[in-house]
Amino acid sequence: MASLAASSASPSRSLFERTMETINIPKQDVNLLVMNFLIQEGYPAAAARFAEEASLEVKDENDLMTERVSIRDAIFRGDLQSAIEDINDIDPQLLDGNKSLHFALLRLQLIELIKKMFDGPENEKPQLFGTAVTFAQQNLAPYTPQSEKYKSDLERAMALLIIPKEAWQSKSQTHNEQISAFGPLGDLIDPSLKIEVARDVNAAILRSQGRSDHSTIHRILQTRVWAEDLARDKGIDLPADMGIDLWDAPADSQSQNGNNGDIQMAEDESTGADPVHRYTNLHESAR
Amino acid sequence: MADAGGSSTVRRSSYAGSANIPRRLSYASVVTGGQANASNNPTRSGALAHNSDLIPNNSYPPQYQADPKMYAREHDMSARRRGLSTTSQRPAIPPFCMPSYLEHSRYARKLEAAYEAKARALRDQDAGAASLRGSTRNSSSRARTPQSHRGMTYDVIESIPPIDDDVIPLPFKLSTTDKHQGLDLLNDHYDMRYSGVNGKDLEAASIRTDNPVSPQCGIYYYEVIIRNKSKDCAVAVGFSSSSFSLERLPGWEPQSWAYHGDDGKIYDGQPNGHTYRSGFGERDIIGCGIDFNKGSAFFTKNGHDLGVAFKDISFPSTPIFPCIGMKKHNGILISVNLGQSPFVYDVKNRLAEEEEKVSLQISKTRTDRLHQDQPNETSFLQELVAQFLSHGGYVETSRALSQQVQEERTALHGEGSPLPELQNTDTPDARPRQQIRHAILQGDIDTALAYMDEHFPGVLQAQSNHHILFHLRCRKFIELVLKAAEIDKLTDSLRKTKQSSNGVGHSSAVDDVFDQPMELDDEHQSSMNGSRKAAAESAEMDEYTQLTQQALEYGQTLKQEFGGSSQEHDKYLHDIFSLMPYFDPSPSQNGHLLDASGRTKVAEDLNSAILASLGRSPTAALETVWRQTEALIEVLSHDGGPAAFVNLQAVDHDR
Repeated sequence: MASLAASSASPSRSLFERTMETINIPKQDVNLLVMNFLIQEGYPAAAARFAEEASLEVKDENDLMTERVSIRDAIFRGDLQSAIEDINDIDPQLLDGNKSLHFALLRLQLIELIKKMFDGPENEKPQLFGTAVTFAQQNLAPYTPQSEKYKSDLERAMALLIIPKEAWQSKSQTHNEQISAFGPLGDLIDPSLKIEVARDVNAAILRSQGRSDHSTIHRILQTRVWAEDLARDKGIDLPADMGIDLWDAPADSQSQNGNNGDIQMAEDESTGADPVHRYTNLHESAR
Repeated sequence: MADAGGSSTVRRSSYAGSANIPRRLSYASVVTGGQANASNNPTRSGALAHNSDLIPNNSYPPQYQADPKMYAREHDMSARRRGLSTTSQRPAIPPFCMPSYLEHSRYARKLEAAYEAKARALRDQDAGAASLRGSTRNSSSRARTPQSHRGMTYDVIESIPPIDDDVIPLPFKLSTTDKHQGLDLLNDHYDMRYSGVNGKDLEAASIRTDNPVSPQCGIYYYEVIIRNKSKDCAVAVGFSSSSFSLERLPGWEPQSWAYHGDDGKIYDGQPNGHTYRSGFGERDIIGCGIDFNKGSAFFTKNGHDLGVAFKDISFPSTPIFPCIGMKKHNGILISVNLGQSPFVYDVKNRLAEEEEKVSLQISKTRTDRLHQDQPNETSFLQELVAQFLSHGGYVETSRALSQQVQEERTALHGEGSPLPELQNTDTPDARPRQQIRHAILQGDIDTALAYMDEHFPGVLQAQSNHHILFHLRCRKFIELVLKAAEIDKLTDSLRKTKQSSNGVGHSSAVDDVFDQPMELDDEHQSSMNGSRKAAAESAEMDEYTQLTQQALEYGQTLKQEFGGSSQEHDKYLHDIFSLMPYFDPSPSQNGHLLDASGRTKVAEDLNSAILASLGRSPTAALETVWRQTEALIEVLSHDGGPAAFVNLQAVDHDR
């Protein structure tokens, strides 16, 4: 992409474009960047292969990769109980010091219990219903006096109990159809929620080990957006389209690349800033 | 783009162990402790201009930066001339000072890169001259032994390109010219004394440093130590543009800002000062800091922050310099610390705080608009990495990643995952590309070349890929030299004798040897092997001789095939041939060419060429994003601003 842009550029190229040509990132650094991603985000098999294929030395630091991977898998599976236990094994203080993360995990557990109730046989339903309600009362309710957010989060999760069972059991439907069947509560059963919580758990564990809490690639993407906004604010001449081309897509098919000439600013400042807010109210209309 | 070669690029370097060995080879990194005169006593490891008595010996105030490092770097050109009877005084690259608080900054990295580029340019000129001389000699004289050239002097090269204009080094010493004539410089231009002119006291006398301050460093800080001073006289510490008159105290006139010791007031370009703090006098250490991001300045006294002195500074369009002035009475003695010694104020911490603020801001940035088609950033990151792996032909890694991602997605979504599988990398070209890379990374160039012929015939023969073929073939030569060196290590005891014999690797004789039609006559044998003939019975020795000979023959082939094809190639050939006379090549001038990272470069360039021949982009999206980010930061940090505090590394070195 860059090479195309450079060669077809007008004679008077902008400072940015000229600078772009002087940037030379050693291939070895890109390899290290990828290795950092595989380790931080927890892809042990790929990391081991990459060490061989790119002939990189992997310093066997105490990165807790195995533990982090199994915790993530547990969250994805919906086994929040063992995820929370494993986190406590690594660092008993971790969840005590990060209430909103603890709450987010417990709420996921509640959602799983509710889901289990709908998935289970009809005759066990009352018992499972009781389990879910008791769990909410004992584990989540104590949080609600602390913040309105916790309160509404819990209320929304509990509202899943009154979603018709057809919505839960619609296996044949596509992902999007299923989520829309939940209406304003759709975000609660969207896998993105699990991904986000799992990511925050991963970051919290890494932080507790004194490591950087995300992959450097993530950091680069953030810096890229931040710097572009700053540069556009300052009126620095930039290409209108600074999208990222994945997959060498031919010019006419662009289904995969996120560059539709769109340069809108990051829209939702608050979600990143407020730890309580971020797991919640993805769809404000829920209230 | 793939072969950015010797142009002055902003090079990135990670601090991660294995990757960056050649990083500091072209200039010397200076350590603390010793004393040497930078210009008179150059050594291979660089010269040190640290003056240990600059800071008072008493332990008050406490000194920060427990590991004081002098980051003045002396270009190492003279190392090569060590032992030579040359009298030519070539201008070397002026040394620069990098205070240790800026050690990990983006600006420091940039300055180092500019220095490397400059040093390389100088070396290239040398080599160019040498090989030119070598080739003219070829026609007339033959059969020279390397030793016969060791004592040769170098031609004086007059035209030395200036350091990149946009990379301004930081102040290094007090200026010898940009000063009032009543001031005398002492102690290697770190001290100054006021002696007046013809015995009469002038109103004021000021001085600036040799280099201006670049806003790109984010925060600039220096200290002044008032050694001797009588009661009535005044000292002013601050900064000014070059247009400010040195017959006035800084602060009194426009384009100057300063803190005055007599009344404790601060002056921002007007004769009337503002109340600030108490004054300062003998034995006080006054620090002056400029924050280019905030547009403010602060002062410190004996290690304590005195608070913001100037806000919303409208910096002149011309650069500003540290500026010190004094008035009345002879005998004032002042030292400056421009980072050559530890500061008494913990400015490193202040810089870290600023970096932290910017870092926090960045960490709150949402990246959504970069991946609108993906449900979340996680899947975008996975795609980005998968594309890189596919692009690079990392088949096994790619497969392992896809498998794990797929398992994850199944766990999350059940069978009906809304996301397509990660890009399958089993395109027909992926496996051979992986094999080729593997061979190169193992140092097995012949196998890589065979694979190329088998799977991608014609790619290396294309004119546009001539330089890639060249570097691949050169790498084979290097691998032979490496192997020979490996064996040489087994016969360690012999090494000591030979090191004394080859102080210089850069001789045009290097080229002459490779111009030989072929046969290695006795003279060559003895010159190449020297004293080790004695040990020639051993098996290692035989293999060593064989490898050396093989390398020599291969070098001759290279010279025949590629010699004269371009100046750049000639120069590179010259460099790698110069590795030969060293039996243990790693410490030589061109030792960095032997580094394993050279394999990576050749392998990646070849991969890009194959991809280009297949009509695919030679650059992975991941690399493009990184380059875009670097370019944005680079453009933004030009005039200071928050971007100056951003320094991306592949792997965090401390956090």
